[in-house]
Amino acid sequence: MPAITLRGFVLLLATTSILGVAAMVALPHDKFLRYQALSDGTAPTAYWIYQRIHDDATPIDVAFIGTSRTGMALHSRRLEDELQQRGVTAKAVNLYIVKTGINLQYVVAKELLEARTVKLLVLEMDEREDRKPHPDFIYLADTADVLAAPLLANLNYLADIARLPGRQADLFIQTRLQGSGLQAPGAFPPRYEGPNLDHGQFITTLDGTRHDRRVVNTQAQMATLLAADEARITPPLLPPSMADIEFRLPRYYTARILDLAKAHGVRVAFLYTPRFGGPQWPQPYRQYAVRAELINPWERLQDYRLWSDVSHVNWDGAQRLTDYVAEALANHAELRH
Amino acid sequence: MLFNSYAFLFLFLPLALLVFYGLRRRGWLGASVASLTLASIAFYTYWRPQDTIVLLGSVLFNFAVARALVQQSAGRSRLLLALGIAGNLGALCYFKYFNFMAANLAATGDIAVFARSIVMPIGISFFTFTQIAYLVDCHRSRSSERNLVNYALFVTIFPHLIAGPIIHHAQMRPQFVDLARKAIDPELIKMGILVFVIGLAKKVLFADNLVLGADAVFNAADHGDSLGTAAAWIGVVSYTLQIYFDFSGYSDMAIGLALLFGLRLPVNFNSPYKSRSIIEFWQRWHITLSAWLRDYLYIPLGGNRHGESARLRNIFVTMLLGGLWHGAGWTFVIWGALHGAYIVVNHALQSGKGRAARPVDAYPAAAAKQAATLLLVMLAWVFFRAKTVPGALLVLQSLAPATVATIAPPPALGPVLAFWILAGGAIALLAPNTQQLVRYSDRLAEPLRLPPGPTRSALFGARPGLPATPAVAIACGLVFAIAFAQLWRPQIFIYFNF
Repeated sequence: MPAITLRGFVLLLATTSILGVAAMVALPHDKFLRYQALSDGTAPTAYWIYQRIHDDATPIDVAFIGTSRTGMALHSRRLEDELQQRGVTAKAVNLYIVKTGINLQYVVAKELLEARTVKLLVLEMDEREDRKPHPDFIYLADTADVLAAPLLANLNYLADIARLPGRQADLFIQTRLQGSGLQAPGAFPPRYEGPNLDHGQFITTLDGTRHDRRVVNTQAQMATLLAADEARITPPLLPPSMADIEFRLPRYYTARILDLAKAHGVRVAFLYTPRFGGPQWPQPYRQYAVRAELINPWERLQDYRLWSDVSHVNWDGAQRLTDYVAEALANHAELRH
Repeated sequence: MLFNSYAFLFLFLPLALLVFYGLRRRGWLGASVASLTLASIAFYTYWRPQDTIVLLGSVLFNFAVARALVQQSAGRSRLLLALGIAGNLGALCYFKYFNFMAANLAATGDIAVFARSIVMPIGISFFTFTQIAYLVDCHRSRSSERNLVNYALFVTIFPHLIAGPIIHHAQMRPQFVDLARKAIDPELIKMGILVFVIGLAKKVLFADNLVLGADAVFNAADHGDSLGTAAAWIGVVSYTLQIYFDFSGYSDMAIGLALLFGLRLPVNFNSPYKSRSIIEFWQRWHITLSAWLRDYLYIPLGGNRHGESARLRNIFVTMLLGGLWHGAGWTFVIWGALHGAYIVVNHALQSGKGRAARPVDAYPAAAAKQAATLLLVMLAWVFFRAKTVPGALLVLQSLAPATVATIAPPPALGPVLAFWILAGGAIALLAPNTQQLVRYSDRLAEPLRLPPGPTRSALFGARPGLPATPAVAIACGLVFAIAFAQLWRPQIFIYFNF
């Protein structure tokens, strides 16, 4: 075969590379492997979420989606019991994933709504909007969602796109190996934890560490934690008139979840999970007030003894918040039918 | 900035090429060379800006010493040379060995050591050795570089700055002069792309997958966990292949990048695991360091000029110091001592047989020698990789069957790791190496001198070669695509730590 010019060589190489990368992005895989890939100590619930949605026929009447705030605050079995005492029989699930970034909550909501019939979807709402995308979005999101993610104000867009071919290739190989019975030692699938994955008095993370949630901080300790937390907060960087740009990511994905729920005929409520010392009403809610109600347990959480740290309630706080949510949901018509 | 990072591949390199060739297209060839110097300094500054002060300080110091040195009489020149070398070694000792020496002194318990944490500027071992060689060469030749920009480019040119190959001014200066006068041969650029992609694949596909097997075993050993025999062998084999693909991959990438700018760096690897003796191994592994140690340490120590025993002692000392050059730790000292001992024994065996030309070994003997050499190299790698001497000894102990009561499960030897071990082994032992594939040696001022023995490749026959045909471009594009898919978890090159 004759040699080619430098220009021809570079063009042919670049074209082949692009086509090769595109082919890798299109490789199929077992989606459960994708959820297992996130099964590290920081996100212990990802594979359980998949199992609960797809492999467990237990109904999902009320689904909570959020971050560790929701994960620590809402005890789904207690909620079911409290609702039962109020004459409502409903199955609840807490589909939280640690760390903030609403694009990952969109992924979970989509997975849930496309696979199951849900009566009420409860989304976490914090005291302020978080402009950052979730760092683990690339682990769980469908290929189309990675490619179609908003580019503007999305700090992870290029990194996620760049990582996509590798993710697809790795998952494809794992799927093939699994199909051939050639699992690597220590490979999942993990044990199914049952229809409710809640955190009670203790939390045992996957690394085996056991945390006692009954611990009560002193007022001085909470004040110190609050001061440290406030120092970490980055206030809005752009003027209010440009908030739609700065906070494009949370607004885009919240709107997509609301649209998705509407398309599936599912009612949505927001659960305000304030931080310790946070405002009585979440400022972001004003944008969505016409589309969904707000469950606001703020008044019940003003005692410093209910908090493990600034962002998470302790076991007493979780019981109090769960009971409040049960009171709020007991009169929902969707759950009474 | 790693060569295998998005920032380098899709921002720094295109920008550097754009400026370089943009200036050349306008006819500003000299400016294009200067732009390469600036790009190299920017490349280095990206790591830790404060290290740039050390780098530039070192460049200015050596440039000034060399200029002064060539203008003096022989006696004063020798004095200046000694001062220059002392300055370089002083800086190297301070940045690289202070923590090691302080820790060892403190461990004696009798001496209170002023403890401070010194962060080693990346690449200091390489740019220090490059410049010591330069000073010695200036002293010998009585001539030095007059152009500071060219000198700075010689030291800092980014493809080799962090981890070699170690270059000589005499190799590079004519190329810089040509670069400022002539157009660049497009064939060099095509070859550069090819070599770079091969190096990238070696690093991100082979080395970065093999690291999983090596880390699992050596980290466990360093923690004192018992290992099974199978696990220990998997770890040692994985590391043996990992370091080859990591460092030769880096060297390929460096050569490829230099070719993109019309420069030819010396070859650093020549299928070292095909060696049939330790002496041959060091003619094939990290070739530029071996040559440096020979020319600037072994020969000044006396070389072979004072009898056989002095020669063997000089070899041993050279290898010992070569080990210490790799890192401030006892494991590296032991690694260097082992190789020193290997070479001494190798020379002694050769002397015993006589130095007469011997016929090329027949297959069984050749294979046995190759296997024995590889085994010795692998055993020495255990000290090179382990972070502690007890960890290394535990791995070595575990290599022998049934010496450890507890049989820990092997590391994650899944089918993926098994694939990379088998494929990597086949390439390292059977395939032609990169410079054979692209016939790079034909482009060197001094074509690569291959050690005696057959150079025929088991897979490609006697005359491998990859001309820049459309099929090669397509294959290269596919390899780049697969390597690109693995770039999201860039791993540092092993030799960046030295």
